[in-house]
Amino acid sequence: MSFVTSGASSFTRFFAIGERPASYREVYLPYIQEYAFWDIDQTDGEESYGWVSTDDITDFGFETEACFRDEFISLAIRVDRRKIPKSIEKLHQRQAEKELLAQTGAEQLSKFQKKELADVVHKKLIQRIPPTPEVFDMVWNTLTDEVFLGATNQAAIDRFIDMFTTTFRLGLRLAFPYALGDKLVTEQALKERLEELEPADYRPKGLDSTESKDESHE
Amino acid sequence: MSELGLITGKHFIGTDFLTWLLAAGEARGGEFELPNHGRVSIIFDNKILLSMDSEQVDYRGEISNLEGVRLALRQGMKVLEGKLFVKLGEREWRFTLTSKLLQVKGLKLPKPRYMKPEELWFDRLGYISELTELLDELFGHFLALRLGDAWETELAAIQAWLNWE
Repeated sequence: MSFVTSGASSFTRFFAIGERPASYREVYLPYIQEYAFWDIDQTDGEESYGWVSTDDITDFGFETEACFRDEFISLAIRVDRRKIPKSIEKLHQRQAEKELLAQTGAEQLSKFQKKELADVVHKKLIQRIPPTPEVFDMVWNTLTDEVFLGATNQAAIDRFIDMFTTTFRLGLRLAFPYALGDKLVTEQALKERLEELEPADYRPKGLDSTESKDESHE
Repeated sequence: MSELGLITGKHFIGTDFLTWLLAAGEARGGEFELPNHGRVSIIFDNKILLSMDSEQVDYRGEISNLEGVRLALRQGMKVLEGKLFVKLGEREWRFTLTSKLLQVKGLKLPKPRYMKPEELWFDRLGYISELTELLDELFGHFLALRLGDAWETELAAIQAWLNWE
């Protein structure tokens, strides 16, 4: 579900940086298609990710301009991951080693043989593990260049910055306090003060510094 | 300075802003008068996370009596994040605002005006945008005070509230 229509939304804000093409719908649709989600079942990889429709995470063809809604671009990133539980991988590795020892009649396997066997076991198992999907969506206001990401964790933020900048060939700046201040403050003298700003000291002057901290928990 | 360096090194702007929002809001009876949005009511709800160096203190539950929070602020603690209740006209928002990236978490929006999916999406996005515009105006207002000549007067008002018995 989109963070926009979710009952309790959480989001991180960014600003797109750079020049957007005037006919951005025509330009961006092939870009989005280029970095669309790729079904992990068609690969033997452990992870697959890319753009999908916000309304339907199984729709990643982008044959229409449905992701463009008035001045907004609405997309979701889908990340599918396969992860083999370590205990299962160890169990299968041990079984495979026993079988190879029995076949070859050797007393022990070399490091190289063990590594080769581990790769075979891993490849076999990974195809049997169903992928777990994770989805987070974004809304980009192309009039203000404000971008909302419906996630707040660092891994999602890093993935999103990478996907956005690669797909749209634009910069993306997190709207953290200093960056937002830099955008809002337009007067040069105030910009310089912002750059030199030190933390405020709200403590009343003449306060007895021995005031007990325990008291504040009451 | 790198972007990551700025996020970490200038994090205090976010904690200073939230601390001002709490103290200045309380000193003003929970109401701010903003040029673009008019009169807006902002109240810290039932959760305030304070910090100083590596120490953190989490206040939960009814915060009708802010004496404990004021004592902590008097000792130099600042607001790391807080749950806010914002009222603008008849519209109400509830959410947690963080100081580091100004992230909004667990946002509850005003009641939607439309129920069809497409209309609902635009309606809710409109409320989200209205909130961020309001927060930007508040943040801009704080920076204008903080960077301008009126800061000493503002600081004195905050310190008076902190000292208020």
